[in-house]
Formats: sequence, C-alpha cells, structure tokens
Amino acid sequence: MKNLDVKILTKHLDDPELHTLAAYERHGGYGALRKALKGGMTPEKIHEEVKASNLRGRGGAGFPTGIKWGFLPKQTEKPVYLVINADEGEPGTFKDRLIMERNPHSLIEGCILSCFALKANHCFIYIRGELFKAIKRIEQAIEEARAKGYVGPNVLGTGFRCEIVAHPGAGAYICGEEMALIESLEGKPGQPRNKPPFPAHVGLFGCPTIVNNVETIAYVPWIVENGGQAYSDLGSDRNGGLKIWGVSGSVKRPGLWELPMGIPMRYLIEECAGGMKDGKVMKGVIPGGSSCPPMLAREIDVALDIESIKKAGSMLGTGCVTVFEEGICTVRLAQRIAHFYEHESCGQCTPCREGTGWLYRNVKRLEHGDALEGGLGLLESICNRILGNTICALGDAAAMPIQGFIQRFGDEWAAHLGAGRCPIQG
Amino acid sequence: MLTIDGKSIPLACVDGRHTVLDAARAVGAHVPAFCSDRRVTTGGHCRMCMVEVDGRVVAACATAARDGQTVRTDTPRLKAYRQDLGELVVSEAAAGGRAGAELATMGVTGERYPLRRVAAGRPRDESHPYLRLDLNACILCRLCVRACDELQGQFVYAVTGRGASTHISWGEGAFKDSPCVSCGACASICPTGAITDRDRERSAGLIEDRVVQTTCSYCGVGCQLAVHAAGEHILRIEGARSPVNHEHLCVKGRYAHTFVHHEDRLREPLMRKSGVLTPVTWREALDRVASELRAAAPNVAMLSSSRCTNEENYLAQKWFRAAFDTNNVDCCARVCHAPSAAGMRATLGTGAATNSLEDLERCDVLLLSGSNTTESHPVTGARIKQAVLGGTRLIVVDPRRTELARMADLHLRLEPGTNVALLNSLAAALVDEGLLDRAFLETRVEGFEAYARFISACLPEDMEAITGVPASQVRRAARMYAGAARPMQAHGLGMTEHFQGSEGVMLLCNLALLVGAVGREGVGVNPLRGQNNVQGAADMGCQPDSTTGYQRVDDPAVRAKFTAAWGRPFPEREGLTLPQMYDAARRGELKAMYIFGEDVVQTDPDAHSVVAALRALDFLAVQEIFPSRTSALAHVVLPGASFLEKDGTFTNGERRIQRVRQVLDPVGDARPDWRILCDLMAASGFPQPFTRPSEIMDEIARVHPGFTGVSYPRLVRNGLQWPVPSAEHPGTPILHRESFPLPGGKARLVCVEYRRSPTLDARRGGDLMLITGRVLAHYNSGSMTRRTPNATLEPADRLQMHPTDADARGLRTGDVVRLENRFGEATGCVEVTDAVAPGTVFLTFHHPESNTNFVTSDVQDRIAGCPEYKLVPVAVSRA
Amino acid sequence: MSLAFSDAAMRRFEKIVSRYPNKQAALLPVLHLAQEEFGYVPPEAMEYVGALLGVPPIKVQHVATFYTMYNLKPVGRFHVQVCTNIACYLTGGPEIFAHLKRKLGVENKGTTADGVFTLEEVECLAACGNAPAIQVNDKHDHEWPIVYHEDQTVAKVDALIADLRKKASASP
Repeated sequence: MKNLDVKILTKHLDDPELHTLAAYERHGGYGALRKALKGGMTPEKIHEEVKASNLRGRGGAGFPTGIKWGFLPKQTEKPVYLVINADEGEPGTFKDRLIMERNPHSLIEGCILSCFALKANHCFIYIRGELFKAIKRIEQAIEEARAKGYVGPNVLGTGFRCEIVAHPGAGAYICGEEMALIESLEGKPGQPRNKPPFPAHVGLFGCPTIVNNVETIAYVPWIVENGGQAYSDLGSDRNGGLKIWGVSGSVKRPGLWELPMGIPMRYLIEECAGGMKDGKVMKGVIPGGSSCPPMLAREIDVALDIESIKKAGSMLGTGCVTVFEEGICTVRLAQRIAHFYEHESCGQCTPCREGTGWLYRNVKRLEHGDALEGGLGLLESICNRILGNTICALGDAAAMPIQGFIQRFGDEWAAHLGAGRCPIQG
Repeated sequence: MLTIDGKSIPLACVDGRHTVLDAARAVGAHVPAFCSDRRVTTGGHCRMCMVEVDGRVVAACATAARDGQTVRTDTPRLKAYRQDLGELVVSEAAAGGRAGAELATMGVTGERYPLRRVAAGRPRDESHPYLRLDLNACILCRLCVRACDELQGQFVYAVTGRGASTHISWGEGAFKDSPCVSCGACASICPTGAITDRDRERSAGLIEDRVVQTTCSYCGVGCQLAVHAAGEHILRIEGARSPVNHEHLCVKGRYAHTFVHHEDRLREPLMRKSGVLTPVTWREALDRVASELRAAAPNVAMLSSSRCTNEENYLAQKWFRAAFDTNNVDCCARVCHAPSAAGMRATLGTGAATNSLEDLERCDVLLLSGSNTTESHPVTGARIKQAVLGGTRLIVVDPRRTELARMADLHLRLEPGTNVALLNSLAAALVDEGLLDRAFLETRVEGFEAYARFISACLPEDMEAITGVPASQVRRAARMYAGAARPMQAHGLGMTEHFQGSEGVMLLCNLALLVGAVGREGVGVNPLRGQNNVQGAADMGCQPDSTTGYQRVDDPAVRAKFTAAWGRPFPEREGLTLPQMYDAARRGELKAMYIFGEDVVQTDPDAHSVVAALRALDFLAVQEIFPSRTSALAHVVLPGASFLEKDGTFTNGERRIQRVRQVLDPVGDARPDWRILCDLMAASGFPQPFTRPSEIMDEIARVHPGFTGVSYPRLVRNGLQWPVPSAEHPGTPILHRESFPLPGGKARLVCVEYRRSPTLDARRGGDLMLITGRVLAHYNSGSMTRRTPNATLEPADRLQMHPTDADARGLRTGDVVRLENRFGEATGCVEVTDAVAPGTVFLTFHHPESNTNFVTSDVQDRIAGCPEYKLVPVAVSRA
Repeated sequence: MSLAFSDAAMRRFEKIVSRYPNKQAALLPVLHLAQEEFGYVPPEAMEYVGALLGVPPIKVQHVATFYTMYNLKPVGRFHVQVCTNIACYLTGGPEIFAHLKRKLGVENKGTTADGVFTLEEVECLAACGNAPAIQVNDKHDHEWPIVYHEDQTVAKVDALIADLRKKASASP
C-alpha cells in the first residue's frame, strides 16, 4: 500500500487560520504560482504536467483532467472560460465544502494556474447557494489574492490577466451537471443542453469553456510545484494522486480523509471511520453519492479507484461513502433516493420528468407493500426507459441506484410485493 | 453516404445543417417527434425520436447527420421504447393534435403506467379573441416557448417550476393581459392542441379540401400565406415557406381574414338615384361610368389602388391614359412612399429598396429611421428583433420610444420634423471624423467635394439645438454605422410624410454612399413600403409623370413605344398628383374622378378639404369592397373582390413580384377588379383582349424593361425580384452592384438644407405636436381589420400622451379627448405612456368616428407632394 | 405594490452586475439580493429585477420558480430547513423533522402563526460527515443570513429553537 501519511490539501488543516492568505502563504502557498509565472513555465508546460499527473476529475465522472483541457480549440477568437463546479450536492458528498471553507486559497491558486494553462482570463466559481460560509470564504480569498496581485489585470506583474468571480447557485442539484451549470451561470434555469456541442467548444456565453470540480483544481498547485509524475506516483495505476475521501452514515467517526487513490474501501470505513457505531452490523454501502448503485457489506474490500469499483458493479462517484446497517429497509432507503431525483429533475425531457416521478411513486407503493402489478419487472422497465435516453445524466442517476438495489437486495424487495406493509421496518 | 434502415442517402444531403431526423424523413422512415419543428431551434425534450446511430441511442432531432453514419430507426428495442415513452406521455397529458394522433396510431393506452398524475385541473384560458389555452393537453414540448422567443421575440411564455411541477406559464392573470401580440406562432406550432386558434371553432366539422398559397394583402412585407379552405370557408391561414416570412405571420395576416364574408361587403353595383345609392345591374353601372368619364375627359382623374394587383394597376393607368387622354393618374404612394421613390431616384437612380429582407440577417448594424416596424410591418419587425437579440446593433431615429427604440443600442430621439437636420449632422460627423469609404466615393459617387464643403456647416454640435439630440449621441451613431462591416438602413413613413420628406430620404442615401453601403449584401437603403402593393402600383405607372416601368410621359420615345403597344397614344403633359387633383376639383377644373380601392376621406389629410373636393366633382365613381366615407359621396359604386377572391400579383417592399391566387369566389355579384376594369375599358371604347391576369402580365413584360423576364410560371415558388431583364434572369435581390442608373453610372450626393415645416409657423390653437400612425391590430382605414375580431384587441383610436402632459390636463389612460386645430376636430382614447416625449402626442386613424384626418395639416412634401401626416400642432382637452 | 431597491442594495446590485459580461448572468445573485431586500420574491420583484437586467419578466419567473432557494411566498423570520437525505436519514434527520413539526405545530413548508418559523424538509446539505444537519436562514441577518447547525439531536434542536425564539423576541 502507498504511503498513507502524505497530505496535500489537508496537511495544514490544524491551522485554524488556514483560510487566510497569511496562513496559506506561511505554509508555502502561492509558491506554485510564483514558480510558474516567474519561473518561465509556459501554459503548455503546465498542461503537460497535469496530463502526466493522471489527475482525474473529482466531481464524480473521473474524466482525466489533462485530456479534458486538450479539448479546447487550438485557435479561437473568443474568450476561454474556466468554470469551477462547486455545486456540491450529490447526497452523501461533503468534501468540496471542506476545501472551500478551510483551504480556499488552494482552490484560488489552482484557478489562477489553470487559467494560465488554458489561456483563460476569466474564472467563475459556481458555488452551491446554501453553502454560505464557503461563498464568504471564497470571496474573501479572492479579495485577498487580488490585493496581493495574484488575481486581477496583471498577475504578479507578468501582464497575465485573471479575474475570478464567486457565483452563488440558488438551490438546484441539476446545476452540478456541467451544461446545466453553464446555463445557470448565464442567468437561466439549470437545464442541461444537448451535447454535442461540448462546452470545450460552445460553453459559457457560447465560448470555449472548461468545467472542473473544486478538488480537481485545488490539486493543481501541488502538481505544478512538484511535477505531474510525482503526483501520479502518489496514487495507483491510471488514478493519479491523493483524494479526499468521506464516510458518513452509521459509522463511529464519520468524516473526511485525504488518502491515495486505490486504497481499499474497508480501510476507509474501518480504520479511518472506526467501523460501525453502537454495535450495528453493516448491511451495505453507497460508494460515492446516491447515484451510485449500492454494494453489499461483503464487497467492501474493493480498491477505491475508478476501474476497480466499476468492475465491482458500482461507481467511484465522489468518493464519499455512505454506510447503512442491518435493519435498514433498502426499499425505504431507495424511496428516499428516488424522491430526491424526482425533486431535482429539471423537467426538460419526458423520460426523466415523468420517469423519476413514476419511479418514486411506485417504489413508495412497494415500500408500503402495495406495488403495482408487474412488480419489480415494471420498475426495471421504467429504469430502462430512462437510462441512456435523456439529455443529461440525471435520469441515469435516478435509475441506476434502483437497478442496483433490485440487483443486490432483490429478495428483500420481492418480499415487499403484496406484503401490505414493509416487512423490514414495518 | 449515410445509411438509414438500409437505405442510402447521398453525401450531398449531409451538409452539416441537417439532423438525423431530417435525413430519416428524407428516406421516408417514420420517426415520431413531438418537440421538433424546422422553424425553431432544437430542444430535444420529448425524446420520442430516439434512434440508433452506429449502435448508440441518440435523439435524432439533436444529432447532426454526418457522412458514414449507419442509422436504425426501427429496431425492436426502439419500438418498445417509443411505445413505453408514449405511455408515459399519456400519463402526463390528454394530448390532442398531431401528437395525440401519433400516440393513437401507436396504440398507446395509458394503462401500462397507471400511476397517472394527469391534472385535469391545470389552467385553461379563453380570454383572448384568437387563442385558447388548455394545459391539460400540454406535453411540455416547449415549442410554444421557442416559437414565441425565436420567431416573434415576444417572450410571452416560459416554463415555470421544475421536474414534475413544470408547466407552461404566461405569467399572472388572464392570457389577454400578457404581452402577446397575437402572431399565432404558438398555436401554429403546438403539437397537442394545448394552444389552439379560437377562430377554427366556426369551421368545426368542415373537411379541408385545399391549401392555396397566396400573398397577404395587408402591409408591404408580402408574407406568403398558406390558406386552408373547405368549400367557401377559410379554415385557417398559416405562414408558407418563403424567404419573405419563413412561415411566420402577424395578427393581421394570420387572423384578420373574416372580413371577407362580412355582412357589410358590397355585393352589387350601386348607382345614386334621387340622391340614394341604389342597386343596379352591372351593365347599367358600367355604361354610366364610361359615359360620364368620356363626357368629362380629359378633365378626369384616376386614383388607383395600392391594395390591388399589378395587373389591375396596369389596367387602371392604361385605361385613363389611353382612353381619356390624360396622365391624371396617381396612387396612394403619393401619401406614403412617393418621397422614397423620388429621393432615391434622385440620388441612386432607382426609387425602390436597394436590398432584400434577407439582408436583415446579414447586416451587423441597422439604422432604422421613422419606422415603428414591429407594429407597422410586424413580420419584418420580428425579424429585426431576432437580429438584435442575436447581436446586430440597432440605431433608431424616431421621436417616439417604440418597441425597437427600447431595444436599440442608440435611440436618437429627435424633435418631430427635424429629420433633415439630424441626418445632415450624422453625415457631417462621418465627414468630420473621416469615417468614409474613399474608394467608393472616388469610383461610384459624384459631387463629394462640394458636398463636403456644404456639410461641414452641419456638425452635430451645430444641429443639436434644432434636433434635441445630443451631439455625442450623433457622433456615436456615426461611428457605429460607419464602423460596421455591413451597415444597413431601413426607413418608414416617419421619414417620408414630412415637409422635407423626399429630401430626408436623399440624406439617408447620402449616408449610405459616404460609407460605401450600397450594392452589396447586408447594406443599402430600404424603404419599408406601407401597402401590400404600393411598390407595384408605382411600378405599373400609377403616377402622373411616368407610365409603366417609370418611363417618363414626356419622353417621345416612350410615347411612341406605348402607342405601338396599346394602339393609342397618351399625352405628353404630366398629370396631376393626388393633392393637385383635389385642388383642381375644388377649383372646378377636374370634373370626374375614379377612385379605386381607397377611402381617401378617412386616410388623406385635412379631410374636410378632401370632402369638399369630392363634392365639387360632377361625377365620382368608387370601386370598393366595403362602403366607406368615400363611397358615400360616389355616384356609382362598383363591388370589387378581396385578395382572396382573385388572381394576380403583388410586389412587396423588396421588389419581389409574388402571386396572388384565388381561394374563394367573390361574394354576391362582386367581380374581380381586373375584370371590372376590362369591362369599363370596353365600355369606354377601348376593349382589352385579356381573359386572365397572366395575359395582362405578359403585356406588362413587353412594355416594362424591368419585367421582361416575368411570367406567371416563373413566379410559382418565391416570385422574382425586379429587375428581371430576361426570361433566364434569376431576378435582382441587390441593386446597384456595378453602377447606378444615372448619367455616368454614378450616384449623387445631395446638399439639402434644413427648413422648418410651415405647419410650425401656424401654431394656432395647438400646444402639442401631433404625430399620426398605425397600431399592430389594425390596417390603415381599418375597413378590413375592424370587421374581424382584431377590433376587440384595439377597439378605439389611441392617443398616446406623456404623463406630464396628461397630468397637466388631468387625463388618465382610457379618457376620451378632443383634438382641435385650425383644420378641424378629432377624438381619441388616451394612453398615458412615455413612448411619446413631453409635448408630443400620437394618434391612430383606424376608426372613422375618430376623424383623425380632420386635424392633419395641408402641408406637403416639397418634391413629391406627400402630406405631412407626422407633424401638426393640436390642442387636446377632455371630450 | 411597486418595489425598488434601497440605495445600499442598488450599490450592491451595480457591483454584482459589474462582474459579468452580460446583465442576464447576474440574475441569480440579483434575485438573492431581491429576496434579502423584500423578504421573498413576489411577481412584482420578478418584474423589477427583470426590468433592471433587461430580462423579460416571464423568464425571470422561470428562474425564480426553478430554484428552491427563492421563496415565492413570505416565510418566517427563521427558515428552518431539515435535511433528511441519506446520511441524515441514517442518523436521525427524519425524527428531528417529525419532532419539529409537532413542536412548531406546522406541516412541511408551514409557517408558525407568530411568523417566527418556517419549517421545511430539504435535500442533502453537504454536511453528511456531521449529520444530521439543519440550515437556518435568518431574514434579519444581512451579514450572515445562512447558518448550518450540524450533529443535531432532538435535544439540541430544542435548545436551538429556544435560542432562536429568544433572538426573535430580543430583536423582532
């Protein structure tokens, strides 16, 4: 196993003032920015390093960041935008909030470096509106960085212009979808656009745009300072570097830990989070936010990297694991999840708008032992109507956990059929 | 090559603009799609059109067709998917319309997913005269939203809420109180019947038996209509595919057609007997007209109709010139765009729009002068709105803050009547700042040196006090116009209906010449012609100085040519203009007049003097479709046909000759106007050989050099833009590409000094400046629109007044007021609005009882004789 | 009712708009500002904001009704929002929500008769490591209008409500 003691974003969390520029700089912050801009690194060089780092998107999809950056058109007369997806809302996920509230300058430094690499002069950080403290901390960090000449019309006197704006969301999970986020930033409802064209070509205000997650960009300064290879080496094959992992639910010590990519889930749950609380017995986990199909307790030896967990039949997602215990009815849990997706469907396309509602209503009936004739088959068929047929992935996110629950807890779900009540929790 | 269900489509069709759905339809594959329509952008909402492209399932409507794709539209998986999706749709809404029909064909029952949340309690609304909304049928395809946003730019609809609570909304309150302008695009595009036309109720149960494409007879835009009919009933009117209107229409073109069968229609010839208009036979009426005119010739005059066809206008002038030996022929261009024709002919050589409506999408700056386009030319107005929303910059010159002025980058809100001062100052700024196309001026324009000397005295700073427009704004406008790659101009009657109307138009041409904005795409000087065929009436020769094709009557070669063609000569001397006809009548010199399709008493200025003139005639004949104030003075009234009841052609404001096709038989004993004119010519001893309008056009093509290549078979699709010098020529969308039809082939810069209108020096009894004009729902005298449900949209003539003027008089919106000046009295219904500046009022003239033209002045354009409708002092008080 | 921003709000408005390449992009933050100014977002506020930003009122309505943070109806001084999504679901969120319904005598989205509390069940607040979590918005606190209360229990919630009541009577 990799060295578990290396920390990057959480290294100085014990400093209660870390969110200030002074403290961040005291711990070496903005060194990467000086190195890049004053040390003659070209945008292309930074891009190289990010490619070499094997850094993969930390928002849930895990797309290699360096490759994504490469999708920008080589020549364009339009401005290029960097947009930070800080609309953290996937149920079970709480990692970006930590970065923004406690270590905001790591994100700001990452934004400046990424803008430089992408030849962008404008960065918008789209922060979930409810995360008021995070918005405040980011706004303060931007102002401090501006006062110091890190942000503004002439970064470090190099002539490079970099403007960063913190933009508050207003309560819509769908805005975590990059096209919805772009629409929302333009002052519209967060309704995903048809792809293609992809945002790298036609994004914010019709201009080439790169959308990256908070955590992804916060790692960029370390990569610039220490080299892409060094970052890659911290992680596992094809899954570069460290990641902030979370555990919530029925464990002794829920929380966040920064550890290499590829560590076993069991280590995270048992060693870090202290295992189950109050003598409870683990029934299963939701690996990385509620859109990921659940896994059984016996499956948690899986390595936390994108490919391994996919092979095991779920998704790495955001890397925040939710643990539930025996005695919890998975139909009722799925009902709560289905309710969420019905509530958050943007309403644009028919399969999602109608399908998510239909799923919720029928899972609810099933929980009450009153499922429609057709039973689980009917539920699965609706999932199939949604999957792959919608404009964005929200429909998939609603259907996949239901499919997963039926697959892994099929007996329990079948026991609800015609039962007249929930056989697990009454 | 692209393969769809095993059928190949050649690469030529795969041009990047088409979708897989288009391609599938091209090979006849049936792919249901509810939310897609070629008129608007793709939403991809309904997800009905999912197909497999190279094994991946995608929405066909949102996927570009590309070379090498293999598409399957009919796999069992897709069929099962669509069936199931249909079940979900039905669980949401009771869809009718084409979507409902499609679902029924699919055998969707709504039973597979029985947890229905169908809300029978969703909003319904029947408050609007034309549109009915029932959201219980709505499947949220959002076509209505996109149609309203992208075709009209009115933003009436939006989706409200999200997820399952999503529904279409028009805001708080009844639909009639929404910003809707009744263009009907939403009803036309709605696939479910959630939004429908109320006027179809009358025709419920009738089976459509034909769709006839014809040309709208309201304004000069010339929209192409697809008239759906059953027997003698119009079922509905849709926009046809055409470069003019791209299937879009306005509240007049789409809905205001029910006048055709209105009980007021003139159904038989009338003759005054013992002072009363009494029905007579056609024979009696025709003979009386012919004999009266023959007796009075040559002291007779023809006022031809810009509302009627080219063929009819050609006949009208031919008849009077050749049968009565007079050039006393005019048309209502005299009272609208005669100054455009005169001004543009003087500077550019041709008195017509230099460019086409399509150039509105090509220009990057539009200078719009004296035009409330979104009301007066609604479909063109909507097009301008879309261009502006898409980034075209707009400069509006108008004393009123019109809808487009509110959208404009710059609104030069000048004092009424100071067009010449303002345009001179704009030109002076161009010269002063060197914002000129010197190469163009050198090679294609005459007179720059003298002009530059003259204009140096008209700097914005010098003119500011006259125009009221800050010099800095004028200079900004000059830079914006000159800085554009493709600066275009359009103008309306706010330019022409002035004391210096023709000269104002010359100055517009000056501007275009200075920056080299003539003779190429996306530029030019473009009068927005008022009436459907006012361009055509002038082209056909309905003016006193020139006959068909602007060939001057004083040119012996012209007279020789026409004498040969017609078998009769016509006089050398120019005839009378319309205002001169009135003068001559009042003096007793003009004895008889034939007024064809115009209600001059209501629409011409200083109506009291018009009435006096008509009363002074020995004989007045009127050819009309409705009784009017003018026909009430006539000795003979002949019942003509509406545009839906005859064949012919109209020429729109971009010189496009388009077919008018008969849909219905004329009501009662009414006859197509060309036939009436032929009958009258025969009765006058000048029989014509024509059995159908196409034969008249063939004769026009022989005498009009610009029409040589025009014939009905060539007009079938999108018509032709004149000049069409040969049978092979494709028409001329853009004039003056190489040279100008003036001596030396060069255009001329004209020096014009600003003159105060004499109307301002006679301010008796009036402290407010009155501008007259039109509103969206009505057309001119309102004879047609007032006889449709449009009347409920706009029941009375509106007097717009600024809040400060209203407060000073204790007036509020809805109050009825009296307007007075030395010409007479009129009434209006107050609308308090900042659309007019303090000291200015605006009144429409659609309702006869308002007598708007009793207070308009006797001042005329110095060159073309067009009345100054846009400026007269009035006093306003509570009625 | 005709609404308008105060001078202070107008200055904030200008600052917000200056951050974006076009006015419409400022719509979300400006609607937040309007809600702060007017307490909620009635149709008049949508019209006002639309006029300021050049966005048709109906499009403002779509935005205002799409996002959950805009209150279309008046809410109480304290908008108490209880998360019951998965992590909170597993750690007592639903029990706290049920408790508060009984305690305040309101249903979901209901406001107490004295106008002090509006109670709402909400989706994940990104506080799963310290579940269950409650978000409390204070209409009167322009400095810090949104506060998270984490690691909640029924007993802690009782104390929180008492605290907020005290605050309400101290500065109504």
